[in-house]
Amino acid sequence: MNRKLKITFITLLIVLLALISFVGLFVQDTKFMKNILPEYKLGMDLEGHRAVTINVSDDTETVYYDADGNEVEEEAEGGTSEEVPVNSEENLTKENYEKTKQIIENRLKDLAISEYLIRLNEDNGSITVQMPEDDMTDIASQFLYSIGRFTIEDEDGQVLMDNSNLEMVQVGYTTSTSGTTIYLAFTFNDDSVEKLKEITNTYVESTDEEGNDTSKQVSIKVDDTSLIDTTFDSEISNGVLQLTLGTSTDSEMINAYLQQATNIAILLNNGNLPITYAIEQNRFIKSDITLSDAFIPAIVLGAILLIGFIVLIVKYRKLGLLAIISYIGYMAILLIVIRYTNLVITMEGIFAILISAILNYILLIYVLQALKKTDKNREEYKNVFNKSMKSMLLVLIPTMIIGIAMCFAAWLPVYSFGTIMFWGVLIIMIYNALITRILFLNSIKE
Amino acid sequence: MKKIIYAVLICVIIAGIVIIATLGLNADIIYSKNVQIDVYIGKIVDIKDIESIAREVFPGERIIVQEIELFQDMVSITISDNRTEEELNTKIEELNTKINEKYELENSVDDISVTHNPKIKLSSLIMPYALTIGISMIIILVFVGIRYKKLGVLKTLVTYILSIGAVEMILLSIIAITRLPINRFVIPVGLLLLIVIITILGFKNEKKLTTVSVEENKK
Repeated sequence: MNRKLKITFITLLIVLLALISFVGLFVQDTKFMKNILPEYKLGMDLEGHRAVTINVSDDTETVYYDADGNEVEEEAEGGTSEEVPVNSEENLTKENYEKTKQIIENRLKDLAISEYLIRLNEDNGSITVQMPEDDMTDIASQFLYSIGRFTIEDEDGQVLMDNSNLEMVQVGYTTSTSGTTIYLAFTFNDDSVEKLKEITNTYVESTDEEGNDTSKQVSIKVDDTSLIDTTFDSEISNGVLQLTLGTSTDSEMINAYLQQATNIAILLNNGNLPITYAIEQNRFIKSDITLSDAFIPAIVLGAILLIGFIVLIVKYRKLGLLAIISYIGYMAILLIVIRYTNLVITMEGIFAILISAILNYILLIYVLQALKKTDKNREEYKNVFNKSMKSMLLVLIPTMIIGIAMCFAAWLPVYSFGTIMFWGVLIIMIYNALITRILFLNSIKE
Repeated sequence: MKKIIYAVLICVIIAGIVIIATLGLNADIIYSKNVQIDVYIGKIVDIKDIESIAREVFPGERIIVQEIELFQDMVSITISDNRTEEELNTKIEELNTKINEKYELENSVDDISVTHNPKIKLSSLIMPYALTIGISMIIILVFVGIRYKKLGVLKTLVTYILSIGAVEMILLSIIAITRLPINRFVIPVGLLLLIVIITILGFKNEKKLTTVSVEENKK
């Protein structure tokens, strides 16, 4: 292909990419035109957050006593009752507030909430959590104040086992012809294995001599909600109690059971809250950073970019102009990649885009400076371009390392910076080695 | 001249460390103890109008005004938590009156919810970065140690560690000395400086390496 034709073709391709990236790719959708390019995904800083505040509950519960002064389940004839706070005074300590905060943080981590801010008022135990608004937000909100109390109770409400007996809860599944069964495996600590064995031998199905049902049931509860009322048909001697949550062949149902099981496991594995909390507020609050706030920084950055472009043209003439075309193409591709790879843009992510833009500009200047010093000979151009590109890529490797390391982070701002930095540097490497190379090398005659 | 600059920078770092150790850092209201005033207005409002009313009620203060939910009829005004309950209630009454006047409403102060938000530990904001930056720094040091072996491994490593450490410390010290609030831009700026300094060091070392190679070829 003719070298001028190559430049024209690449330029047109870049113009097309720039139009797609900066304006959009519109297709007819019923009456309206619709941009088929995926929307940018924004982080908590830029989109808004759910603010949930929980306060130490000042509720009371009624405790009933029989005529002899023994605590009973329901109001007894001749008995008494009293209102008792759900949180005793001695329980409301700074240590317990801290412990609650830690448990909440662990629950949010296990729920894979990508970003959150937790505020603890050490004086009154009030906790405010800010988290992104997504599919998990409502579940996570419940996890902030759910106590996570596990009990195995007999028919009289007597607690046979509780969180102190529990070592861990795991989610498991088995698949058979009847479908996939999701179950929870409660592993009890060493001290409680015998106790569980005893319970499984005591609470079994039975009938008396007359054939009447004399079975003794237990109720397995989480936060006073019964998961199952059951008897045991065999002794459990290994300390692991399996509880089936459901069986289905339908993938949606299986996922629902799996989610339910996972939620229970997360709730119980992180321990129970030492204090009872009540929800104070649960609202979505939009970001304070609006498009109008971005206007002035955008103007400033645009002006800096314009100066940068003028410098390129004044200093490097034709090559400078080609560098500008190449630069626009780079930015267009980076933004398209961010959209299509569903990268979440946070404040850190915006800085990663900015850094990528700066690094690409530096690369162009570096290559142009090297080319300027060489003879206008195609072969020489090629050598110098390759050499300076290689050198620049070696300079970029540490930045790439930071990007890759941050890609593995679960914390959204870190992840956002890492992934955008990774793509930014990767595109710098590939794009310039291909596109910028064609533009620069075809700028001179053979 | 170089020595004077280094001396000034060392003084800045020392002053910064002293200020951080004694006064601590100055957090922006998004991270410090704040009061969140949620006002239900009941009709679609322009956030700019609410912002200007809030500025009249809380003059000269840092205020954040945000929309609540998606109906544009409820706003959240965040201010610093540095008033007594009595002073705050007076201000809230003033705010309610001004909003009522502006939108011809008869909302009561009881419709306004006030939440005292405790501060966020600044360390909790930095900790998520510590592990990844730590790991990447180790890998980077191994890489530069191998790549710039000819320039002296120890010298290269020390230069990288000192340069990165110094630049980040200077940023932190300037923030501490000038009492600039720690806001959501501080960490990204820190990351930007990290990349900038690593890139500059990379360029310098590549240049030195080329010179060394040329000299070796001459020999």
